[in-house]
Amino acid sequence: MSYTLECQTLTKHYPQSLALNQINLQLGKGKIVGLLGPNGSGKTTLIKLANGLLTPTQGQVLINGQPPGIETKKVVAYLPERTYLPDWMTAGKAMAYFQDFYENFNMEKAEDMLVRLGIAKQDRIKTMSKGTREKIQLILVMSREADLYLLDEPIGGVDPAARDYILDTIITNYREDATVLISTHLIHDIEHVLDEVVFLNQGRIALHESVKQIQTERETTVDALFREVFRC
Amino acid sequence: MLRKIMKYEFLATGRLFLPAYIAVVALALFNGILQWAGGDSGLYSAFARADNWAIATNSLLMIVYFMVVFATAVLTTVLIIRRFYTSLFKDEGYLTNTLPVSVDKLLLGKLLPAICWSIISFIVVTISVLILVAQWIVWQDLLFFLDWELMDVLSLLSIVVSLVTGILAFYSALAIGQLAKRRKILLAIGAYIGIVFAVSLISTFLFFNTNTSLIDRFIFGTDQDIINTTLISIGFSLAQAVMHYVIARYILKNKLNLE
Repeated sequence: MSYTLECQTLTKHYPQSLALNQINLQLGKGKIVGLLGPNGSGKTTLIKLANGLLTPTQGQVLINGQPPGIETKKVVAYLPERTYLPDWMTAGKAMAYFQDFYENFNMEKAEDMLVRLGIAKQDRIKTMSKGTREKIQLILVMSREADLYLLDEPIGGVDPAARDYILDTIITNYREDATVLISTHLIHDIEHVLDEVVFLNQGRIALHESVKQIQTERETTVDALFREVFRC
Repeated sequence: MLRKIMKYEFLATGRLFLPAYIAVVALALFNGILQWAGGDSGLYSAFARADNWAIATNSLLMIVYFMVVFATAVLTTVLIIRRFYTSLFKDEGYLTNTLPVSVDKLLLGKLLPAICWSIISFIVVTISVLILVAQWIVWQDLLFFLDWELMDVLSLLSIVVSLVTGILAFYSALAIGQLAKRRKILLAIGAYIGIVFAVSLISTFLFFNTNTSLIDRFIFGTDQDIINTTLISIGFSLAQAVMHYVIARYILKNKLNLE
């Protein structure tokens, strides 16, 4: 059986640092997983490797048993930590773009979310605030019926009210057998939606446990455990 | 998928090219009408009357026209380079490189529109020159353009192949630049200079070599010699194009490292 996401001795060197060091990780179907760690712990590197935007120094990352390529890109919905939409596009154009390239894009769902967030189709990306751009990107990504959602800091740049809406959007929009990997350092806000957590520390996995285990066996919260593990 | 990539490529670049084309043609028309209208409006009549104001305004308009033509040529080159770089290697690269599309389609989807724009830019500037000098043209004389011989076809082919090679040289240099851990643009410029240097070195050996003396045959030889030399130069250019394509493709496929 192949995992939705699997890392095998995955290593990534940067000129000045070792971002990921011999990571082994398996994520199965139907889980919401928190990828948690302090800044610079390798969260974004891991997600970029899974998207084929970085080439591993050593080891490999597999999605449904395959290395990143056309087939994996069809089933991975990726929200990067930056604005990637060309600024000449309108919200409507960006949606048409996703519909053109991704067979699993659900236009109705996207239009619905756009209306609920009060964004007009003819609004230009260029004139949008950073928060609105993030919302558009999240709408586009979550409107895909994907096997794996890789969400890099989806709630970092928006206000707390929008944060709740976004988390709500994430948990209500992913399919039951899909896996969602959310990287963030705002643990308290997302703790209640997570099934599993992966703690990354200086390029290594410090912990990979289910939230239930943490709550019942360790009798603590993810937030408290995080503070304990990453005590400065 | 190639069609879709090209569609968005044209949408992204067209909004920058079209205004430039409109400006070139509008200025040519405006200048042209001033000159054709006869009476006191043209530059010729201004000189005849020694009217400094008329000379100055007419000249200024001409200068603006030539600047816009020059700007169009620069714009075409700069946009082709910039578009490739930003859509694949900057923030937009996060979108482009995660599309379920093969590297070949991405590359061709950028290359074909770039070729189109280069040709359209050339045609627009040619039309604008024709507009400008319309009153002096004997249109029947232009009919010889319709009279094609083998050598004309070969020359045209050679120009198009050089154009493709030129664009792909930018692509491979930019891709090589991505291999640098930092200062990617610096390495890209270095790679481009290296490519130009290597190509001129090889061409010198190929065409100015006394054994082949291809260039002598091109200038002084028979018609067949000229055709053969042109074919060799087209082949040489094509070989470069293939090499650049393979380099860009390999790096995009196997060595991608977005910041």
